[in-house]
Amino acid sequence: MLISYKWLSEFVELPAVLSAQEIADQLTMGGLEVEHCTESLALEDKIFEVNITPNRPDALSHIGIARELAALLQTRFYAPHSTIKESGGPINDVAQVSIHAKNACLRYACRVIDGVLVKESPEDMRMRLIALAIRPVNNIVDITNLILLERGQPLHAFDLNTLQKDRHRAVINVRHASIGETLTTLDGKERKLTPEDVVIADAEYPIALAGVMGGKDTEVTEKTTSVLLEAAYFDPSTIRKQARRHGLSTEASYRFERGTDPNMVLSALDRAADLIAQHSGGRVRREAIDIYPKPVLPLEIYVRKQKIADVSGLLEADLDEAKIRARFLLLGIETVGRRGDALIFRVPTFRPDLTREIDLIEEAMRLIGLDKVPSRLSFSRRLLAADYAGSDKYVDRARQSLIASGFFEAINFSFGSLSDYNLFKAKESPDFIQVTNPLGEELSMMRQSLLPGLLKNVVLNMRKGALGVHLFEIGNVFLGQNSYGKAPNTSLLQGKADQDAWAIEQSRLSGVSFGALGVRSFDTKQKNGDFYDLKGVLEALLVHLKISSGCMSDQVHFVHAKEPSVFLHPGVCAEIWVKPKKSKVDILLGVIGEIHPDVQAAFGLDKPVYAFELSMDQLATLTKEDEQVKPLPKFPEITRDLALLLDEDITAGQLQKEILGDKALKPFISDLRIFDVYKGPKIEKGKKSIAVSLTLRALDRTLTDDEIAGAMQAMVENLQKNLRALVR
Amino acid sequence: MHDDDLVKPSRVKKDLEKLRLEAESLLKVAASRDEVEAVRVQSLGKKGSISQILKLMGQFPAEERKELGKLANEARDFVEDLIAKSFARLEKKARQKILSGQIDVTLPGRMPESGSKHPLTLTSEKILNVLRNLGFDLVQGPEIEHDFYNFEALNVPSDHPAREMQDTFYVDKDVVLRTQTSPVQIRTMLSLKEIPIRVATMGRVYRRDQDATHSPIFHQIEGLFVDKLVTFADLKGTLITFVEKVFSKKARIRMRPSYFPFTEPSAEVDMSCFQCDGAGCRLCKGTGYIEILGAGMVDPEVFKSAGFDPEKVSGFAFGIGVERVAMLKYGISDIRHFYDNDLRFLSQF
Repeated sequence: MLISYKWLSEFVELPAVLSAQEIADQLTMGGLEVEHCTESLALEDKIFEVNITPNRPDALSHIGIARELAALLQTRFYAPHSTIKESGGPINDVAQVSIHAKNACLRYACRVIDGVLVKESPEDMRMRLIALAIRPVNNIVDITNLILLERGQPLHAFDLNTLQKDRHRAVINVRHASIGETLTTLDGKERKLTPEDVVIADAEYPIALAGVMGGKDTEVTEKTTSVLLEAAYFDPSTIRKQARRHGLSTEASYRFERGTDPNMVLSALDRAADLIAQHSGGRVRREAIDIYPKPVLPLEIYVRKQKIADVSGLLEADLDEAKIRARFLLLGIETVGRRGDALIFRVPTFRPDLTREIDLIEEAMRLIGLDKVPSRLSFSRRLLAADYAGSDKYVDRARQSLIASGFFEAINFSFGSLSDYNLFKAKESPDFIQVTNPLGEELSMMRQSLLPGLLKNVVLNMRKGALGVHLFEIGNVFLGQNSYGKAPNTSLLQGKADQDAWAIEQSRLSGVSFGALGVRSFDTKQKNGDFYDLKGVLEALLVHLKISSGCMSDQVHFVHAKEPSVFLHPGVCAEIWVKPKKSKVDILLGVIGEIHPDVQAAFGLDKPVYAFELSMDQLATLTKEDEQVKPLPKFPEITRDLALLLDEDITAGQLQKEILGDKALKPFISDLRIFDVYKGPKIEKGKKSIAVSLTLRALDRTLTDDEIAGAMQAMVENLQKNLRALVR
Repeated sequence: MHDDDLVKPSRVKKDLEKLRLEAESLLKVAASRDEVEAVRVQSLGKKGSISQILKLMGQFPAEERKELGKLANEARDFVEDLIAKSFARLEKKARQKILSGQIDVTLPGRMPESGSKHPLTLTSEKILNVLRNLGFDLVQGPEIEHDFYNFEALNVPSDHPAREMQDTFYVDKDVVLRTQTSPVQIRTMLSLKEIPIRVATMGRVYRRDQDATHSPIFHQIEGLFVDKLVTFADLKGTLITFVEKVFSKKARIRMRPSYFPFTEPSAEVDMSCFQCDGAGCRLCKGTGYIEILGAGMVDPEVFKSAGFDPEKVSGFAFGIGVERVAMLKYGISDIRHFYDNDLRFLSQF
């Protein structure tokens, strides 16, 4: 809201020692934040742009801000008073008012001004309106706007002669619209009305959308000679709903939906009518019509002094009751009594935000100044720092591991486009959760995988010339609706605070690897990463989280998926299964593979991309901390290399499993490494050679050559029998 | 073998002298260990000169044998010493050769390529670490949220003007993408049911807004403390400590009354500008202060929604925008940088 400093000074005594900027700072520190203070040279004025929080409709006017300043600066507030000169016949001769929508309209008042000459307003009035961002129209409309800015009461002027009459009297009827009715509003739009809409109607037709905007047919024009001036109080929620329904927000609706003062209606009406008469040469008819069947009375609120102390942390003894009462009075809050420890305050009806004890305590603290409230650290209550052990350490360890492997952390939006996401969606997975009012189609679907976002990042970086793009992200995916969460159910929260979440949300850790990877230097060439590079990165991650014990781990298995993910190359992908130590059930941790060439092409990438996606929940359950160390070996180790000729379809995993499972050798194997895989002209077609290096050691003695030779021989025979493997 | 068979002692002496001189001259020019070794074999080896000479000793009378023996030993010692010295000389020469080599230390090292954490992660870790040390436990909540937890229970009924403060994304009737992390407060209170509660939450929030300083998705961190007789003074003390630890020891705070539906009293918290220390600069737009937090005492209505009696417990809550802090800390002017994931940006952290 824009406020004129000069106008403000008509209603409040502003200490001469304070500059406009200092006044603005006072308002800011009082909770009415002045965002800008700009100088208007034409008006020799300063204009404040004040940010008014939605709880303070009373501050949406110059009088409201002036009252506030008087309380903050403890100076005088000049309350405006209205005088009116009436002449001619009574209003009842020419107009009649009835309210049918009684819940929506608590008060409706009007006056009639005859003999007006509609013309341009005087220069100073127009300049003032322009400075406060209101477009001048004519002397009648401008005055209604002026009063709106002065007092916060919206007004509307109808051309009396355009209203449909009943027995020569113009009819005003506040009612719900009927089905099929329309209204062309001042902005020229024809609006279809529904019975939910509350309108001002004449004898026949709607003439205004109540509290929002007047109708085109009844507006004041140069032909107008008599004006019916409306001032009313409408129910905030009704106005808010209909403003939203019609996509309209006006100065009037903005104030009505926050709550105007029902008891200000008549004084604002009189002031406006009087001004109109003065500026248009018109005469205000005798009497006003004022329908106000159930007057709104000020609330009386009890405030305990002890409670002020309890909320603020100020000592009760330090609270100066007289001072608080005096400051309250400047805000229009009267002290009307006392009961026990409690003071009873009467709150004016222009402050709909003050309904409870706590509201007045806040008000008191605001006036005392939050800088006067002491500060203390209350942690003597429980000296311990929070215990985070195990709660999120694994997340950090996962991050550190991937970073050490050359991956950068990315953060993407959780929504994207259907076309991108569909490339990653399995048929049987649930439909995407859709944002019903997205910022665009490309930001409308809640993600079910982090990979589409990461692939887009690859594309962006490739376009910027990056040779290698290695990214990971940790974030939620949204996998359809949670059957416990159709409606909020607080009784389910015991123990698990998100039991009734509407959606199934899972945390994922995903990564993509594209192009050059590894050390780059003046004498080493970088190569493009492949499946095994990324698998290595994951293996390192699992070692860091102590899920795997390294390359001969029998807890982690990379398995060719029977039904590969749709977004992965069916021949270059694996599921990652983990067998926890004390569990019989294997857990699926996630998938790894090459992005399907179709998907790669859809993203416009010219090289293969490798990707993984893991479940953070499973990582959390599988991660181990503080493992006991193994004793250092006392006896020397022996290495034996073995090159085996195998059928091409025997996997390294099968061979490894066979060796590690070998009865004779098992107790001695401390490490197993595959150091060569060969397929080619030197060996038979349909065969391959795998060379393994075994590290052997006994815990209780030095192994002899004979002992090992025997065990190796036995194992080789087993390999021959079970895998048809031959030693080369 | 007549004359030769009878060697005179003088001849032996001469031979020994010759041996000395020969070894000396050869060793002097020997350029490798092999050459020195050859001299050793030739003069001291089993079939070498000394051995040959000593073989002749038997024919001399004891007295002469003794004298010649002494001379022979001296010659052998002399040569042995020369050989040792030659080896040492060669060793030194070789070492000198090694040491004379020099590499170009200015060539770049073979640096392992490592990645980095996202600046928003770095920022929230810093904030959460401070909260952790102040005793706040970390809790989480869903991002897709019922209207009830996101608004109603936080004292924002439908048609409340405060809803306009946050433009909301919907996925269904009464189901929103949470506009704030505050619904986690409600869930936590409803689930824990016992005081004291001291929790922090961090996560994504969504608002229908997009420009250089607004992202439709951003991150918030929120703290909540509920106990008996918690006052605004406790809130203030906590925030002072918080700002000092997250920003700098010199940072001061300023609290301005404000409005949030779920706190009463509410305050905007400004921090003295860390660039100009309050003097006024471009970063703080000349005001000396930067808006950094929203905070307040938990509204009695919120306690009622969360199953607590506001006459028996009280508490405070505060929230901070992670992007905003990161933008201030790192001097980032466009919020979109956080979500582009451009490596030229990410690699600076």
